[in-house]
Amino acid sequence: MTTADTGRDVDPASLLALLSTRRVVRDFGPEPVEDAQLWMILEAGRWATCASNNRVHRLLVVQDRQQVRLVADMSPGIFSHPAVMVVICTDLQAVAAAGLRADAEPTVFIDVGTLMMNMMTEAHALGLGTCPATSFSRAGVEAVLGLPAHARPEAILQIGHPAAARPPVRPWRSRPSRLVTELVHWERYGQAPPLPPG
Amino acid sequence: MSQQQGQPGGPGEPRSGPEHSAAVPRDRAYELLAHLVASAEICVTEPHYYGSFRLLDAAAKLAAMMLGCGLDDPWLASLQEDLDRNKVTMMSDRPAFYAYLPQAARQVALRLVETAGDHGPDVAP
Repeated sequence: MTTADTGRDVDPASLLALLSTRRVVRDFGPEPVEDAQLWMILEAGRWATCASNNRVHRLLVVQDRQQVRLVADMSPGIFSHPAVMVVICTDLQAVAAAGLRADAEPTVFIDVGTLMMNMMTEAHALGLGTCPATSFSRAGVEAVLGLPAHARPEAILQIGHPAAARPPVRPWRSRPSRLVTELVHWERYGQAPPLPPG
Repeated sequence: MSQQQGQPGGPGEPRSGPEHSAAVPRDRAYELLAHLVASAEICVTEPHYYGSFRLLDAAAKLAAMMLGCGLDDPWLASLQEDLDRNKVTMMSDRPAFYAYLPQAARQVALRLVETAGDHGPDVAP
């Protein structure tokens, strides 16, 4: 596929392979993430689709070991100490400026997901592991990071090198993935789709 | 080995030695404290079974902490292994997870019974 906008060749099958081989990594090795890689991941987040191009989220990068440990301490959903954490915050001042209501406007939360997905995909393309976390104490994370009142942490992306060489600390067993035909309805809800070509 | 009243480790006296106690450093204890209070906050909004998961996770962390601080307790080491292996079924096999909860409680209760005559003076909770 060649897109007119980028002029680059993107192989759709390779892109699908990239998307379908990403897995959540919950145990990270100690190796640092290179600055160039980190910036590519952040840049990928910048290009995430965003409602009305409002851009009400900010990305706080945390690499200091002590800070990473403290955030993990306040986050029961984080099981390891990754090289990098990216804390996706809603900037409540930006929300107000855009005329949105932070707790009532679904796109505020949807845009957290698009940001997260873009960054996870780019990290996977770079050979890095990622894990999104929402199971954290918001008050606790705000306190340990000294966040200003207008920065509301929504999700934390953990990035690092998978500790694949070591035995997994927590051998999560994933449920079997559903087939695409089990997820898709065709024309009417409840109506099965035709079989995909091939 | 029988122990005499009034001797260290005897009835009414706190037991000492690596098979009875472990000094947990403050920073490790704080980690568990943070896990518990953070869990208390997020359990209000998470699915109900996450609460059981957080508690099992905390129990596993406590066991690991005590063992890591020198407690020589093969039963506890085995329990920690069980907890770490079974808690993750919350994500993959929820009926198995639910079945494990009373099993873990029974395991701990039997251990309490087994060691009931082996403790120091009563301390009010």
